[in-house]
Amino acid sequence: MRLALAMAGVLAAATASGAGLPMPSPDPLGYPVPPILLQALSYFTLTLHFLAMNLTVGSVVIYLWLTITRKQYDDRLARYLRDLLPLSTSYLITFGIPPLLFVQVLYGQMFYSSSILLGFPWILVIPLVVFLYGAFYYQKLVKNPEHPGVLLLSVLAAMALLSVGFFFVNNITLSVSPEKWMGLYAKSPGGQNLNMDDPTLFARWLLILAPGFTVAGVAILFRGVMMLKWGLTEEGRHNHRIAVNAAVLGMLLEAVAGIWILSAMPDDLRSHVTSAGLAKLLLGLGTAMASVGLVLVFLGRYKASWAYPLMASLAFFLALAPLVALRDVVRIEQLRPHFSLENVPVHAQWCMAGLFAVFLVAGLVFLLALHMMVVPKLIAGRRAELRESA
Amino acid sequence: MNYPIWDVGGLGAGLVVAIIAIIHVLISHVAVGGGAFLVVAEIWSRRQPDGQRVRDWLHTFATFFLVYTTVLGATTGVGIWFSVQLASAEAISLLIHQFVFAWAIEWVFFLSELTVLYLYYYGFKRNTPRMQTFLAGAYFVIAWGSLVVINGILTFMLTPGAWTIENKDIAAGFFNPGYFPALLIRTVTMFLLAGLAGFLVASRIRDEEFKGRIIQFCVKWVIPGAILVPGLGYWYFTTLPASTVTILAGGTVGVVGGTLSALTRMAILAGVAGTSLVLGTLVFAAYPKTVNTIAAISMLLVAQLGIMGAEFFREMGRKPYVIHGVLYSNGLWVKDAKDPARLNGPYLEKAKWHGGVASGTLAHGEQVFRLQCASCHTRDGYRSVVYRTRNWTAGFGSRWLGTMHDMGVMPPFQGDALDKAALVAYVLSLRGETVDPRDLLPDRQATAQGDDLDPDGSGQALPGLEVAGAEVGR
Repeated sequence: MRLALAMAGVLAAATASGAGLPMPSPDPLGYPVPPILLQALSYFTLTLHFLAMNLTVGSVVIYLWLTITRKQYDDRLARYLRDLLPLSTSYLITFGIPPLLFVQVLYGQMFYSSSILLGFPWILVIPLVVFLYGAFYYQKLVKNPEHPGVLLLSVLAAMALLSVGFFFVNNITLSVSPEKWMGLYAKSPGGQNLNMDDPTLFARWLLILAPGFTVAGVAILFRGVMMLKWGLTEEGRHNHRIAVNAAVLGMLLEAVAGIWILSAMPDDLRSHVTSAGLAKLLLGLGTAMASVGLVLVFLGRYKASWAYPLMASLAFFLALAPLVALRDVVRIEQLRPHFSLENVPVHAQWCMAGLFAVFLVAGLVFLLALHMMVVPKLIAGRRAELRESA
Repeated sequence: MNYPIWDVGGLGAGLVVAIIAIIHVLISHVAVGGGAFLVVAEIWSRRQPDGQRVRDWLHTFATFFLVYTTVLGATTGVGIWFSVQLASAEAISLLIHQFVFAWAIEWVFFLSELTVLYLYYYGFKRNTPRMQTFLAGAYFVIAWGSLVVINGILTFMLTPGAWTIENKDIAAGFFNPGYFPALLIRTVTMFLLAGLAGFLVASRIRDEEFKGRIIQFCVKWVIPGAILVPGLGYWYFTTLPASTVTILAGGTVGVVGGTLSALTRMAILAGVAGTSLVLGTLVFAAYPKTVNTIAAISMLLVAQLGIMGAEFFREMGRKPYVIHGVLYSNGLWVKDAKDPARLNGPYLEKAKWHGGVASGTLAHGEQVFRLQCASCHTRDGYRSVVYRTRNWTAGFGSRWLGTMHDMGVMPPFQGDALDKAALVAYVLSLRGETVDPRDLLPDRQATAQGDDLDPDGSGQALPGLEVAGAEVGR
């Protein structure tokens, strides 16, 4: 114990005295394709992951709210969201895999270091996800989902979900702060650390969670259209009211998070985000497309048309994608003193990259075809069930 | 030395990986074999006089299958990845940089199998029988496809074949010598495990006659796999590196201090578990109506033990490497170890995560322990260093460190005499002995040979000093 304390003192002193940062060397295998392609794949898949995550976060919070308020039609909308949660969680996890893969190729040495330093919370993500995923299935399959015990389980699952997001934000922010690494390693080599003193930590956490209300709002907008098309006008209008409120709330929170994060950033970084050409363009594009999405949600309310929720979905995707790219631009800027993508050699694997492209396209076409064959029947069946219960 | 070490007390980072991995392997194999089970059960149910009742049972099986494989299977799969990042960052970095697009292709399979499974499950009561059979079949083919991909990366770690860090020949690495036997072993094992999962769901059926028929149906999934695995296992054995075979043989004849090596024990555990499963299944076949939930769960637990044995065997078989012949378990590259100047020079000058500790102190020794030993050993828990060095004396350790690589299961020591002395002093301090590392330097030791457990100076341990890594943690 005394030795451990002495070690901690030595290591902390070494860090304080500005000893060389322990930046690992890039992998000797280099990049398998030029980094721009890996970045593009990472942006695309991370945007999908964020959308699925936002859908899950927004759905669980709105589900709990509706279960408490219990106004007319709330119960049926709550059931819709409850049924949605296991599915959205599945895709949250599935779409989370490729961005994590690509970030490890691009920034592995930073990402692994921060993961090890946060080892305990990082590995805790796994049991938390098992718990929340299992809880979402349980509340879907259980006979009495409104039992207080089941609702408590849902609240705990929601908290687990928020915790997972918090741990991810911790890791990502620490991965771009190598100057903190030795201090944290000295404090707890077992990884019982969090990156709590990052000034942008909570703002970034809010930034990734806030769109949850907006994305869940769009999902509810879809349901509202379905109700209107099936002649369940009152229920459809009820759904659309909630959809609009949720979408607006999400956008307001996102704006707060955006302003907060900009004000909490170091001056040089803020100046880069607000004045550098690419960063400014991405920020502007994201804000503009989010505004377009919100307008489409407004315009689509009380209308029995798929066009509005579909276009709103596209707009929010196009809003999120530039912000995801902006996130990477900020990371590159933060890492500039220590690391540059251009300095890592490329040992091209074009054949494998092409094979991946073939599989990806074939897989997506196959899934689309299957959906066209199966989903209309499922919707028709649901319609019959709803009419009966109405 | 490139990355910090996740220093997890008595557990050890490697054991965290192992715990998650053995859970995942069982579930992921059920997830693939269960797909084939669904196809055959779909067809079989339509040939039964009480087909609807069979389909109702199949729906129960599908619900169990969906929840079990998605909640526990998918998340523990990601869990392996998370834990390996913590336990062996250098290795996962190499694998990801070499096989990133293979992993990405596996992800396409994963996305597809998940989606198809949902279409199958949610359409259970609405799709036509033909569509359900097609979806189940598509699910199986895609899920097996994901195995075809990941198997290349898994087997690469033990038998990288003609792949080298210089040629980076991805095809040679992927279709390595262990690829096809491992693929076939896993394929037949997953059919076997699907049958075991079927036992569990069938055990809940109240109608004894109906339960008997379902149990007999499940028996047909277990027996063929159980018969084929030993033969395929032998084929796999013939592809193993010579060093692995040597350790296995050494354990079998008991040359390691008169005890079985851990590797051999794990192989035996897998064999005993497999035999028990065959016997249990034969009992189930003879008395199908008596199968209850406890018996069915017991069979799955035995299978879990068998998988534990097989997976530990695969992992331990790589010793002292994490990627055979390329990267040692503690992150030392074999290419670097071939450079004597790099290998034998002062360690702290090369290590990145020592934090500037003073040379020749216990803190120095702890850093050497953490960066060179802690990826496999704990201080006094799993694979305990205190236990393994219980007979060490102050004079013995440094010489043993200098020759440990020759034993075949340990990487070479990195560092000079002072690094060795610091590590030995630190290890001795773990059991309460206070030694100044500088007193262990060779020039000072020349005058103190009396207490040595290595009288001939060969560095070979006397009986009772196990080869590190050959014992399962105490």
